[in-house]
Formats: sequence, C-alpha cells, structure tokens
Amino acid sequence: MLQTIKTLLKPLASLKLTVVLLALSIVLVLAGTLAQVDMGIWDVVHGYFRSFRVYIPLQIFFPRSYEIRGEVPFPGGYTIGAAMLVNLLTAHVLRFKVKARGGGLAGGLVLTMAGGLLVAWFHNSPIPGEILAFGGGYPGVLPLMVLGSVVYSPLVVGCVIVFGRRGGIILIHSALILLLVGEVVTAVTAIETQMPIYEGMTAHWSHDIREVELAVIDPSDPDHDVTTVVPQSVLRRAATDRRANALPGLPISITVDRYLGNSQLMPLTPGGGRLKAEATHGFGVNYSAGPARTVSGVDPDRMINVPAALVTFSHGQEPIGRYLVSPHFQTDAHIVTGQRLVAGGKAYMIYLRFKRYYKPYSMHLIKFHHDVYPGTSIPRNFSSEIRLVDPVRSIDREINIRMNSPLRYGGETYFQSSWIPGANEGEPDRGTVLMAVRNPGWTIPYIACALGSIGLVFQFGSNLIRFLRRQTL
Amino acid sequence: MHQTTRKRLGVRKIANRTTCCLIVMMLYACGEQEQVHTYSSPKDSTVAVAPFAPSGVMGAPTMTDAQAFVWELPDGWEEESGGGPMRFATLTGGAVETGGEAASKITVTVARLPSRAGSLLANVNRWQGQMGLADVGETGLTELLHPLESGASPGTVVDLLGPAPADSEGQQERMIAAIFKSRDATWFFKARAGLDVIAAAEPELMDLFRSVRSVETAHTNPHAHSTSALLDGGPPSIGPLRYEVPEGWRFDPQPRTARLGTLVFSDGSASGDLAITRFPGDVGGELANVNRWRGQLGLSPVADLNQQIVSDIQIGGLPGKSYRFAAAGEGPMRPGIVVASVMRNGQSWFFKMTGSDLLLGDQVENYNLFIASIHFDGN
Repeated sequence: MLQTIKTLLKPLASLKLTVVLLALSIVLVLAGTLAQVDMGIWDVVHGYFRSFRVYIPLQIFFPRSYEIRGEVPFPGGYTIGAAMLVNLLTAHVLRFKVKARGGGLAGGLVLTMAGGLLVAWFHNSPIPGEILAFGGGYPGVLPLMVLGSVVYSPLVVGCVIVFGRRGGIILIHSALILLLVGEVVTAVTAIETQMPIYEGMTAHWSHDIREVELAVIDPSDPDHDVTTVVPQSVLRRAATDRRANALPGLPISITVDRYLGNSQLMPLTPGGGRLKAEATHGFGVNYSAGPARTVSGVDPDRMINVPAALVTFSHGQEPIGRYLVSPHFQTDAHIVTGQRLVAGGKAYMIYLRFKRYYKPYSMHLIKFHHDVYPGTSIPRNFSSEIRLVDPVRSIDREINIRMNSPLRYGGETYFQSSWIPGANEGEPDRGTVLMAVRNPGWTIPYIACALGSIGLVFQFGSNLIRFLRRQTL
Repeated sequence: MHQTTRKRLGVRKIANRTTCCLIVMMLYACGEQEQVHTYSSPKDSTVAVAPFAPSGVMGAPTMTDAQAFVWELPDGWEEESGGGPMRFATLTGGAVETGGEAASKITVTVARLPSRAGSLLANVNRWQGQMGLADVGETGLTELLHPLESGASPGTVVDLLGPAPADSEGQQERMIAAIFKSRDATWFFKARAGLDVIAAAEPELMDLFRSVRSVETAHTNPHAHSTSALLDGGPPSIGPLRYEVPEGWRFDPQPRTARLGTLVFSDGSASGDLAITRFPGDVGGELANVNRWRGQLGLSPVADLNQQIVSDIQIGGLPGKSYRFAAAGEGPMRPGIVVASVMRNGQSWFFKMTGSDLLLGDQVENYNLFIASIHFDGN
C-alpha cells in the first residue's frame, strides 16, 4: 500500500517537473513584464500572476510596428505556484528522512514547533516595528537582525535535531514554501485602498481606484442606506452575454449594453454632430463615452483607468431607461455624482463608483498640512491631523499621520499618500488622501527570507566545516 | 518479478496521467466568481461638514475671474447690484397673486463663491439648515440635485421644501436655487419664500435660470485695462496660461463649448480661428487624437504615428508636438488643421488652428509666434 502511494506520488516529486515549472515561471515573468507596455501593472498582476491560466498575446514579444495576431494559452501564476508547492512537498515526503529517533525525535519536533510559533508571534508583534521606529528606519535593521537570530535559534536547533545535517535544506525549502503560501495569502487577503477626506469632513470608507462597482442605493430609510452592489467582474460578464441581471431585493434588473475599461467623456453638441446620445436618461443625454487606451504599467503620468458603462435598467419587463454611468461624473475630484432612477414609484440613486470598503470606525480630518521649505515651493512635510472615532472600541482620539509615520489601526495601515489640492492653482489644499493597506500576510516574506538565509548559512557553513576538517586530516 | 515490474509501470502511467488531468482541471475549472450583493451602509449625512465660507470669501468676481455669468431678467423684474453682505446681485420679480391674498414679490439672490470656499454639499447643507432641515450626505445631496433642462449653460437645480408649519397660522417654505460653475467660482441663484409664492413665480424663475449663460470676462486679462483692450488683442491669460496675441489676430470673447479661449484671424476674404482647449489626461493618446483630427477633415485613420508628420516643439518650456493636416484634394480652399499639444501636470493643452489650407499657410508665421509666446505660470 505504502509502495503504491509512493509510486503514485513519484511523478509529482520529479526533479524534471521542477525544472519545467521553473522554466515556465521564467517565461511567465518575461511575458508579464513585456505585457506592461500595453496593460496596467495591476491588470498584469491579476491576469498573469494571480490567475490559473492566461492567454499570452504573441504581439507582446514583437515591436508594436509589426502586427502579430494570435495568443498562446499558458498556465498562470497560481497554477505554476501550486504545482511547485506540490512538487516540493511530495519531494520532502519521498526523499527526506528523519534522522532522530525516540526521545530525540519528540524533543526535536516540540522544539521545531515551539520555534515556529515563536517566530510567528515575534513577527506579528509590534516589536519589529518599534525597533525600526526607534532606530529611525534603516539604522534599526542591525539590532533587529541580532534579536531575530535569537528568536529563530529554537527553530533552527529543532530542525537540526530532527533532520540532522539536512536541517539547513529543510529550512531553505520551508522558506520557499512560505514564499509561495505568502503570495497566495497576500493575493487573497491584501487590500490597498485610498481614503480621501476633505478638511472638516469625516470618512468611513476607503475605495480601490483599480476597480469599480455599480451601486444602486435605496436612500428611503432615514437611518441608513441600502446599497446593492454589482461588482466589476459581473458588469464585464453582463456586457458580453447581454443577459438581464436581476438585482436581489430590488424590483430592478439591469442589462449592460456596453462596458469600457477606460473611457473618455465627450460633451454632445446641441443640434447634432457626429456623436449621438446613447443614453435615454440621466447625464448620458448630454455626454457620450468613448473608449480610451488602457493605462499601461509604463505610463509616466501614473493615470488610472476610469471605466464607463451603458446600462439599461428595467422594472420587471418594463424598461425604465438607459443610463451612462461612470466615475467621470463627479461633484469633485473624489466625489462621484449619482443619477436618479425611479422604479415602481420609488427613487434610487445609481453610481458607477470605485469599489468601496466601509469601516466600523470613522476618521475626521481636522487639518491637512503641506509644509514647504521657507522661500521655496519644495515640499518639506505632508501631515494630516485626524480624529479617530471607533464606537465599538470606545476610542475617540486625535492622531497625526505623517510621511513615514503611518497609523496602524483595525488591521490596516494608513499612510499619508496624497492630498486634495485647491480647486484652482495657487489656492489652499482642501484635504488629504490616505492610503489604507490591509495585508495580513505582510510578515510572511520577512520570515521566509530570514529562514532561507539561516538555512543557507547553516548548510554552506556545515559543508565548509566538513571540508576544512578533511583538509586538516 | 517481471509481472510486478510491469504492474508498477502501469501504476506509474496512471499516476502520470492523473497528474496531467489534475493540472488541466485546475487550469480550466478554477475562477473567481463575484456576485451581486446588498449591504446596509451608513448614510453620508453622518458626515460632519465644517463651517466654511466665512465672510470675506464671498463677493463680486475678482480680477482673476476668467468667466462670469450673465442673465436675462423676465419682464417686470428689477436688478440691484449687491443688496446684501454676501450678495453679488439681488433680482426682484413682479408682484404675484397668491390665492387672493396680498401680492408678494419674489426675490432672487445671486451669490458667487470662489471654488476654494467649500463643496457643494456644504452649501446645500447650509440651505438645509436655513430651511430647518437636517444635513444631507453625499447620497442625499445627489438626490436633491436635478440638471437644469434646456438652459443656456449647464446648471443644477435644488428644490427644498421646508417642514410643515406647526400651526395653521404658519406657512410652509420652499427654496429653489440654481447652481452654475465657472472655471473660477460657483454661482448660486436662490429664491426662498412661501410655498404658494414660489409656485406662482416658478415659470419666471425657471426662465431666469435658463437664461443664465457664461461669458469670458474682461477680467480674463489681468494686464488689460478694459474690454476693448482685450478685444484689440492684449496679452490674455487663461488659468496658468499666458500668451501674446499676434498682430492681426484678436481674442474672441464669445464663449464656445469646451473651449477655454478662441483667437480669430482673417485675410480679408476668408477667416479662421485658433481654439485653446484643456482636458484631463491624454484624451485617449496621441494616435487617437491624430485620428480624431484626421476624421474631422474626412481623412482615413492611420495605424501608427509613423504615417503622420509630427514635429517636436517646445510649448511654454515643455516638450510638445505639432501636427498639420489638410483635407483630401488639390484646391487651396480645402480645409486644414494645424494643432499643437502639450502635456502639463497631467492635463493636455491643445492649440488648434482651423481654416482653409491657404489661410493656414499664410498664418504659420503668426502661429509660430503665438506658440513661442506661450508661458505657463509655475513653470
């Protein structure tokens, strides 16, 4: 039975498979890099690396002046990563032997597990951050490394007891496994959003400017809004299949007539012109949306894609009207303007807005500071005086978020990212833009790198010692 | 022994095939499926709006205003400049009959706020407060705003109804306001009165709102002393843009859709103009722009820019591009376009000269002088 399992696992542990997977990953990285000439960096990350399959256009391997058609199906980053993980784990199961026996084995396993837990605790504690902050950044790295090596020692010793001289390789491979797992954790759980706050106003949401959502809001309840959200992926799919999508809980269904990943708005000329209104209701009566080139990863102006969609809303079988929706319709740079829609005698507001994440707490911007060096316009510091109110944890305090001095709260890190300038040049700034980063797996790459380094030092160190001993003999 | 080896080989083959199948299944069976979902979100009315627009920030247009609004008074209406500490003008309507009671006059206050003075939300909430209504949030705000239909300028109408009176003596109030945005400021036309007074005057009010249109003001040019100086071709400015008007050209104060400014010129028999426009971003990219201009002359689009003559030039100290197009045909009167573009602070500026190919050829020298005179404040 055991032999059969081993025979079944053997192809998965093949070194040939390892080489093929490494070669595939090199090709994927090359293709993903070249694709950024035409695509935005996040489109590439999701399309090439955080996907199970990708269709690579042959055009990316040639100068754009040559027109090359066709695309090649290729395994995406998740597929290659998962196959690597399986390959590595099965190789360990089949090839690596536990050296320790009896009490030594038990002690070694306990020490390894305790060491692993200690490492995980250390990296998730505020200690590394405080050491770095105490040292003012890079000067704190050295004491952190010294402390880190003490924290990692039980894990290393445990591995050596259990696996003997191969303990170093186990650590290196553990680091590789952690890197693979860490990327999945980051891909699945990490969220990077922006929180724009105007001076004197309070924000309780942040939004992801890389993704939009169609929000249909029922504002009739005096206490809260009931928001129905159609994600970007559903809008794209609906634009392809042209099928009606019923909105749950609402007497409304939508048909997406057109979806533009990046768009430009053109005002329609009264009396006609080449452009005609495609919408029958709302702002689209006066505007037309045309496709715009997707913002590429090499765009020097760091523009963002601003999608637009032509959506027909229906009440039962009865069409209500066709609306042009887009974040282009703004009251201000960070406030998308909604359009009124009446269905079944009830008024709703519709927005195509950037994907929102609501917080259980709020941030009120007391004052934004944009300091410059005296007599110049060279920025010296950007900072936001914030009042943080969290009714759940009974917190109400004032905080100053500055460059290189972020706020860590509620599992998120708030960085001073940008600001809302005056409406016209030369006018005072009107607010701040904080970047909210949630990445529960942020410590994993650090742990992996530290483990890998220790494993390499141990492995090469022990080989060197053996070599020197033989020389002496 | 031989049989065992064959058996193992068979198992290995099955294992290999199973692995391949698993990988293929992973490739094609997996995919993220997001769904439509509903949640309850806090109203944006919980947003605390700081008081803004302290006295002193309101008032008449400043000398830097590049745009202002003018309007036509309905018959019988009167206008008075100022009329209040924060008013630009006060417009008074004729007496209206309200259900047999004493005739009342409707009053419209015109206020202008510099754009920096605060958001629309804050202003509307100030009015909500005046009417005894609770603050609204972003969602509530958009619900209150309605586009002004068939107006001379794009505007937004806000219609607020006050709370019902506590007793039969009191009267319910209503406020109608129209909001117009210029490049420098937001203009508010506001009428507040009893329900029946507003209802009686509503047709005239809407006529007034629809007549509001924007004009380029003499103040466009901080160096000009009068409108006539500007029309004669002084050195105007648009936002951060400064330029010299070439001899024989003149600034056209007539506002035109999407244009920040227009310069006109003529050779006696034919005339042409130069449009100054500014858009956020790259407006679809260079190739899309080139093909749009080609399309305007009936020329077929080009697949890449190598098929179009493009000159690299300097505009206001920044690297820009210049293009020249002529419609198909041989005649000198065929239409043409000469356009220069430059990207500054994430915005595209276009200087597009249109006219007959012959006229444009004659004006190239002036055009080059104009481009060379361009200067952006802050560069």
